[in-house]
Amino acid sequence: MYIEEVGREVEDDSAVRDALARELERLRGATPHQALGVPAGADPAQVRARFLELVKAHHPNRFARRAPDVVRLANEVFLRYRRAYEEAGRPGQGQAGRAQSGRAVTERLEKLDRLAPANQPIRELDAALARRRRARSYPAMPAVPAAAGKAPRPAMAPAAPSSDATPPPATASGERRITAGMPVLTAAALDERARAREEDRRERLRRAHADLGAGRLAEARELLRALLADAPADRAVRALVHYVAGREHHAAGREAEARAEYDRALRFDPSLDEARASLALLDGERSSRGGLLSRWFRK
Amino acid sequence: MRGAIIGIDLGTTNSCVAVLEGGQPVVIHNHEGGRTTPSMVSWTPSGEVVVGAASKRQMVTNPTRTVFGVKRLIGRRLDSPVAQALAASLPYRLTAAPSGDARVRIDDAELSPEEISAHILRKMKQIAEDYLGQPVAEAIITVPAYFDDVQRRATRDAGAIAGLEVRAILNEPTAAALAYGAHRGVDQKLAVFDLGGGTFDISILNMEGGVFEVLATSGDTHLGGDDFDRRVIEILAEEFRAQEGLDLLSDCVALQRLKEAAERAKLELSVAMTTEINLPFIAADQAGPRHLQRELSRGELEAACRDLIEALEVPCRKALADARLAPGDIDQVLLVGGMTRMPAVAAKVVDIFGKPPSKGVNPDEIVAMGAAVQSGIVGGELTDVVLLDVTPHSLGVRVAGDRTSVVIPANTTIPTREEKVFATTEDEQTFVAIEVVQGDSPRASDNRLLGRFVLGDLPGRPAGRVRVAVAFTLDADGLLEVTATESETGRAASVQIEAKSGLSSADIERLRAL
Repeated sequence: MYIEEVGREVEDDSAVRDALARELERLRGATPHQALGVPAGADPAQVRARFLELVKAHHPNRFARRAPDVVRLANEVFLRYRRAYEEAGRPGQGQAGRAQSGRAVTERLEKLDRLAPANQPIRELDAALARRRRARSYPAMPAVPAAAGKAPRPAMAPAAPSSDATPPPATASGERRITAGMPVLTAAALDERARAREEDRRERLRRAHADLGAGRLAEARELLRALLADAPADRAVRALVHYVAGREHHAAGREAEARAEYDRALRFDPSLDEARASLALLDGERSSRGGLLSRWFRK
Repeated sequence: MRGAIIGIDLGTTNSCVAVLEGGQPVVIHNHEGGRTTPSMVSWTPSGEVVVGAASKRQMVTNPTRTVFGVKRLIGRRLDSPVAQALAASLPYRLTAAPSGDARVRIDDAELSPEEISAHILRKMKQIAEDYLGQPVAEAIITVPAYFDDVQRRATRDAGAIAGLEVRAILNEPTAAALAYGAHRGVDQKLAVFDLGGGTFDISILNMEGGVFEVLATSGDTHLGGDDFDRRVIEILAEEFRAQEGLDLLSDCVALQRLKEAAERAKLELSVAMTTEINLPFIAADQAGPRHLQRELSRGELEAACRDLIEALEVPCRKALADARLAPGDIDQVLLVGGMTRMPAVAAKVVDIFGKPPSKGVNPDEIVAMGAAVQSGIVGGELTDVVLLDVTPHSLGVRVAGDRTSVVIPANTTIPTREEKVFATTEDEQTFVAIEVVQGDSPRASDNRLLGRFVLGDLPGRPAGRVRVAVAFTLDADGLLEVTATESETGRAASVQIEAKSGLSSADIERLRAL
């Protein structure tokens, strides 16, 4: 466990920062049981005992005196332990599970008020809306206008429309009616398809993270390219593609390019802590080469 | 070599400071030898600031410039029901800042509750420095468990103004549990019943292997000793009006004397069955001076406060239900706060939990001692103990129909992160307002508005096609960070925060330098 490596008397924030960054990296590719450090077949009591140990050693309160970015890293690491505990203890019911399925909708649509734009509330998608939209064909995604001054996006294949039918004619009120000749799938089948796709995506992402964690950058890059071809709009995947590119530059010593790629990664996915941690490492390397830092950085 | 981190219980009525010595929490005496210091600040006519017991002595002669109970105002808006009710009964004047936050008016100055609390914190800091013989720069400050995000930030700001780096904001009932159980080693389930000067908190905790895990917390942010005092004041004022035809409540000085007498009577009736209230020259009219002299019995006090005591039950039942425990599952009930010395309150505790409360817990000091224990956790001296607290209120986003869409439910362990996806409601909607609310009402406008994001530059799409992922991150201190990203286009969208409460960092720096 990293806290043993760092030791309790260590005053140096940068050593703790690196150790936390590495731990974050390890946790990304880990299953819940791996994250907690328990064997895969551990019973709930074992899992809980282990989690309580982790809580005692790694609670963010223990880092409260350190620099704010170290506190943030500590919070991030702890959040992942928590999530891992929930998923390991009660599979499928953890916050991550709920967050994933949250993308599929939960509450009923409400009739909207016409409010002034400044007060416009936002509402949640619900199953009825999703079903209604899937029952119609998806129109081809309109080209996104490039805004000046934003980072250039990597050249990728344009979004493949999931149906080749033309959009159904719009009525005067903006509603679209289903007309004959359009493919109409049952809601259950569509749900099943979406679920399978989501499972597949999650599995591939997990493998990509595992590769990243083990330093197999080339394999990770291939996996991510394939993922991106399937879902070009997936920001998380785009962020990772940039992150891998950054890692490759970093390993080759091209600091400026690495930094640029990490920045791009963060722009797509601000919660990608590996990119943040790698940026911190870049800064750390710049400020003190060799010595204590390189000892911690070595895998 | 790092300095000491002190633990401060910043109470509504009294404050207390403690420090860890040899792994044990030790309460520090003030210069008058008191182990607690009144949370009162006065401005003398010459402009001098007086804090603590000296301020309390001025309460009667300097009523409009002596501020007590400022904790009831911190982080509150003037138009909130609590502030409005207080404004009617306080001898000092309340006004509103441009942002709507409550302010106290002293002569020509409008002071924020943060800076008034900072005076108290500065005094506690000084008490510690005199004892330790070295400067103190870091502190743990406790707050009621039921304080919301705005109130917590304001408390932190008060610490900053006082020159303290606040390393943690700790919930009072949790602090008490820490102080009680840190060296006890036995796994057990605790209920902490905290009835202080201004607020009531009930927390249910599980102690297991050195981890103090809060299971549920509930309470009432405007139910405390001051309300009990108020009942006594009302009895006396009513009688006086009936007998003498004079209204004591409209007279500042009389009101302060009544308050002092009521508080004293309440304390005495905890040990005696009757007490005498004697207020000579309380008022005067053309016929001459009027006096108030009367006996008050414990029975009368309890009858007058019956509804307040009854009100203690519902939050306890709710906390037990949220913790999924029966009263019989609780091993120990800890009493915190001076009001728990009232026999009727202690009896209510037995009534609810079916067992007498734990003895050997000093209700006035245990919270500060808990803060000192937490300083040991933060500073690294105590490695076998740690705290897992929860957020007391649900956090969510306002959606159509003025409803609250909950993102983090109440009693979720912190730190935590949750994300939810929302969609636009109009065609070609190029921006959305994301209003973050904290509270347990399904109606969004009943809850506390923490901030408003405007997410602009959205792609023009039909209604519902633009998706915004909102992520809530609550850190270990219960402070919230919200990010919103538009899911589809991969473009960064602009986010601005409006309607921010509290002081700006410029304000804090300026006040700290004073």
